Amino acid sequence: MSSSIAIDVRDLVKVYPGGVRGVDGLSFRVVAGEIYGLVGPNGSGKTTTLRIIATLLKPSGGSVRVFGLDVVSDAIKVRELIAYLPEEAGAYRDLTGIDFVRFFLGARFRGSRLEEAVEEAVKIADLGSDIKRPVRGYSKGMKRLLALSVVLASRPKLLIFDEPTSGLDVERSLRVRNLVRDYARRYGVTVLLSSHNMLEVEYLCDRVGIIYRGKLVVEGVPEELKARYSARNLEEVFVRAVGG
Amino acid sequence: MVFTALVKKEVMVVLKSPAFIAGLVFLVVYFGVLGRVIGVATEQVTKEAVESYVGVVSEDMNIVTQWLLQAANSTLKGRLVTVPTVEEGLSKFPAVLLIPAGFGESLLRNKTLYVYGYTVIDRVSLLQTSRYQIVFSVVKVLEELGKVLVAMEEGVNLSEISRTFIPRVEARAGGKVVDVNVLSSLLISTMMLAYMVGILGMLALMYSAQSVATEKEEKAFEMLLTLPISRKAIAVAKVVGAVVLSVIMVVAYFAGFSFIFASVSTPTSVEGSQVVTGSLWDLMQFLGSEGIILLSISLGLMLMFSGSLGLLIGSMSSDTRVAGAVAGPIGAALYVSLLAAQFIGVPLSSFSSLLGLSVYGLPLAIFASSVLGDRAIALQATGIATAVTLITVLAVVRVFESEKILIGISVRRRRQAR
Repeated sequence: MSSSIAIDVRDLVKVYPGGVRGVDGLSFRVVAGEIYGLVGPNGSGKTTTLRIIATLLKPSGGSVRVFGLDVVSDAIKVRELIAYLPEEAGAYRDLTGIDFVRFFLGARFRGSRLEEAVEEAVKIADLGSDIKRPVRGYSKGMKRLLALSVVLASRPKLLIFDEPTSGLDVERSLRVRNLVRDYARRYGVTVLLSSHNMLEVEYLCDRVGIIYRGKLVVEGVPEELKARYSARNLEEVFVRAVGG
Repeated sequence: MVFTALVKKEVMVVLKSPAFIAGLVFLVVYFGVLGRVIGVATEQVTKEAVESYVGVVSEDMNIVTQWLLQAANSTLKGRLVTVPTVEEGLSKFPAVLLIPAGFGESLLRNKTLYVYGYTVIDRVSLLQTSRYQIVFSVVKVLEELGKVLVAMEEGVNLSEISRTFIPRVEARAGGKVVDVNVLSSLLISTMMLAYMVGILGMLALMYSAQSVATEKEEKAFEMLLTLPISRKAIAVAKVVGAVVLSVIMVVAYFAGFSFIFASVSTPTSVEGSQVVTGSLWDLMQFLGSEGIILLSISLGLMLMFSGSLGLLIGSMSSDTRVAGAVAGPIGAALYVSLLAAQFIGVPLSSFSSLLGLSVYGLPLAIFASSVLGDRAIALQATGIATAVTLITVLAVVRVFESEKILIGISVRRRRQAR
């Protein structure tokens, strides 16, 4: 496999206990350095796919490789390369923001590199003196920024975001999108994100994969997809692609 | 380094919780109340002793002795029953009194007299103390009547007569003879130890169950699981964190336990019974260095078992409410079982080693082993408890390594294959 492939998902199947099929034969590839967006309605398998790539869940069938490493047999090595921001990610409410940052980054860095990473995270979070307060007093947006700061300051090769701006106001959503885009460009990081927000996907992603009922319906560059489906935006692409 | 940070995080996350601090305050108050309740219960047990039948073996045919026993029987409303031997008496009654030969003559001449009492202890139970409290009560009655008899014989005022009857009471436990004063103290100490083990075990279980469930609610759990750390390290760090928190609780509640000990060491003498004290020091002396080591191991195992069991519950719970709903009854059941064992009694036999299966009952098995003088019971029970604890820790590691940690368990009826 080429080393320029960051994520290689082949015939991925995930069956939950009780027989519910979360993902049903999904295949796609993400090239190193690109920002790839998974788009689809609720229950289409986006989060399940991200969780499998993030080594949280195990596939029932098919294979998933991250920079050539199998997510099941090489899980720890994969985790060294990735950072995952789940939807509604929070923090330990009784720790201060800075304690939280230090704990998570301490799992990846040591010594002066750790201090640099902590400083970087504090700068990204931009919470001022609130960073020294217990997280239980933070708003949802503040918690999201805190978690995002840890993920970005981890400087992984692959960033995985599940609904990165979910629940955030317009101002904070813009800030998060800019941060993600800037980090990806500046450090050549590969980004895989899922979102309901088509505008966000269009703004951030180099390529988009539309997923429906656990299968990839269509994928491509947003402009090409719009042209192919004679659509004004990705929402129309989605509707036409799934035959709505 | 990462492991240390994991453990530190486990501790800090809970220590900074206001709910944890409120819990500490509540339990110190709770122990104070519990101490008083136990003090009252101890007094009630002593009173019950006054109403039991007692076998009497008289080796003295002296008319003075016979009159004294008849008078005592009348005073005690027929509770004294003459038996030919101590062994036969013990087979019928909870306690037997032996009046030695020459007792009657000695009564008229000497100021101090010895009376012998016997009882059989077949269970580790606080209620067993009532068996030898009976002897103390009867001896006190004999002493008062003896003074009356001597006063009549010498034709002097009762207040001028001084006689002291000293009861020498032995408890037979599995062929081993134990001084009852020592045994009383040890039974109370063991009961206190059981309370302590039960409370700490339950708290360790609850806190560890909630630590994982809370982490899920705080939405930081998935981020933690995607760090480049083995799940085994995370699971073991959580177990160690739960044990560290429990040790902190041990220190924090020491004052509360001390209050309980102070409450039960209040003199409880009723009609000649001797003052009984209960202290961990008595227990430590009785158990010896080997017993103390085993007891320390048992406390460590109990904390680790509780922490692991709690983690197992918490890791398969979706939130703290579910974790609390599951861990609460399990913790309470373990705790109440331990308390009930104090009154139902732990049999003093080789079966006591099976107490190791519950891990919580291990201290009682160690005590039973010391009373019987059979160290094999303690070692077997410790071995069983260690195996149970290790299996629980391994189960936690397995759950953390599986995706059940995220999706929980689902109980469904197996579909029939077609």
